Amino acid sequence: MRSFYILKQTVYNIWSARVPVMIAIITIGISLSVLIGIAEITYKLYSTVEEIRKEFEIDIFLKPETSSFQRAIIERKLKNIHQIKSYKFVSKEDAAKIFFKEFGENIFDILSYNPLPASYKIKLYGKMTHVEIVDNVVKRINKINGVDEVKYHSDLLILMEKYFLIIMIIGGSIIFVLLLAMNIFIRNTIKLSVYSRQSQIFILQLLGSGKIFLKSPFILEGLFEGLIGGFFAAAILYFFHDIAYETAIYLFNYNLKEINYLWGISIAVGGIIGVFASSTSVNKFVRIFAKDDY
Amino acid sequence: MIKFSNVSVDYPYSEGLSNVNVEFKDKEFAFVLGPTGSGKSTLLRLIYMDIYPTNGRVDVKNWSSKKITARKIRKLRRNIGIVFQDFRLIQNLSVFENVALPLIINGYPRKYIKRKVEAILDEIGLLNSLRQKAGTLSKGEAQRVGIARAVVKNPFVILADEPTGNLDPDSSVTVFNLLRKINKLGTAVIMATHDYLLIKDAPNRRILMDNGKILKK
Repeated sequence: MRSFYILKQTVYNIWSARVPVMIAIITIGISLSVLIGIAEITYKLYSTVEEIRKEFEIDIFLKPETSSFQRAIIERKLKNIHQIKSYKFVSKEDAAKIFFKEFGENIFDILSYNPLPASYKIKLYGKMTHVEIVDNVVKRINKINGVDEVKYHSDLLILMEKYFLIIMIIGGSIIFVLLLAMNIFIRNTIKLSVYSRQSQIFILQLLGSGKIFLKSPFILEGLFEGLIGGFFAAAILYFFHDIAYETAIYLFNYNLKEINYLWGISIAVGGIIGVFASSTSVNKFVRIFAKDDY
Repeated sequence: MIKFSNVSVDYPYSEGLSNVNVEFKDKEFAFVLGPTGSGKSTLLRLIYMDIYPTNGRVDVKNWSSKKITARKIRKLRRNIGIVFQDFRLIQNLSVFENVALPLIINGYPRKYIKRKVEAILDEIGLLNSLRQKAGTLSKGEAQRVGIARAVVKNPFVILADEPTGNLDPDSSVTVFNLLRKINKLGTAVIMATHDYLLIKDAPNRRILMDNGKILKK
């Protein structure tokens, strides 16, 4: 009986304020579609950067006279550097094969000897590939006997960190602003409902109604707006998918087809925002003041 | 049952009540009489803890204005029936739903609610109007529904704040007789009114108020 009453009041609230409710749903839909699009792009860029970090390599070139005994010592010392995930030895012969693969010419045919040094290719743990950490590791490697030179793309790391931060800040800010906007729209429509039902709330309070019973129709109204807004957002994203797909490929080399669970995410986020915004906006209207609150 | 001890209420620009000491007993029917602004409504609002004394205390059964919490206020109100001059029905709900509200709030099962509400509507002569929206009722009918809503939860007291203030003489008599009938069945009634003519023959206690003070208990 309680559920029936709450549902009936929810439907009545929505129907009475159908224009503001519609506006809120459209706003949520548009905001949420932009938000999810940006969140996906930001996440994809984040994944790409993480991928680059995982593939990041340091080349350690050995002095020509380094013996196999010395190499064993080098490898032991590399194992002691905890930032290093793995290392791979590249002999002079392997280096010549790589040269042939990359340039299509045999180094012996050009110079009649192999000047390419033996080396180690080092991979660091993903979280360790920050400029300062890498510099530290390189300093330690340089001190090892038998190491001639250490090379890595420090410029790539610096660039990556700089732009990654900018993308995160911009993406995060837009998401924050959109969440705020949706929150405000839902709160406003719920407040309209609450204002027009203040006398009803007062009557229910005089009858001894609990907070949950008072709040439920308004929370359900917020949930309804959020869910329908989320559904609308997913529909917008699918509708504009082709345009977004081409644009994303062109601008960010980003494949929108990888968006998974779009409907689920969109509707769930809409619902959560709806419940959050409505329950916080209705709180102060359903409060009963006890003596201590005065 | 209800006890006011040295109760004063200060409003921002006036004095609501001044050092009021009065007691209401179980199953009593009492009138609170006085002109507009004499403090009758303030007295009733203190009972259902809509406002609190600036000084003194109000004890309603085991609840005290001194230490009541929001949760206990809800519990208190579930045991009090309130009837207003302007009825305070929920306009978009039917007669049945308005009367059923206190029981819905208390979580009673559907069958019990149906039986109880229909019995009361039958008693007040509105069984045929149970599906009618509250907003379409006449004033007399609306007040009878208001009384039905107050009594449906078997309260220990009904607080009626000018229940006949908006009604024509015939409806006033009907509503007054309904309240007397409820009282005879064992529920205390405290009725604030300035309709002296209506109650002139009633044998019940009269509390006279003026300017926030009790002139006669």
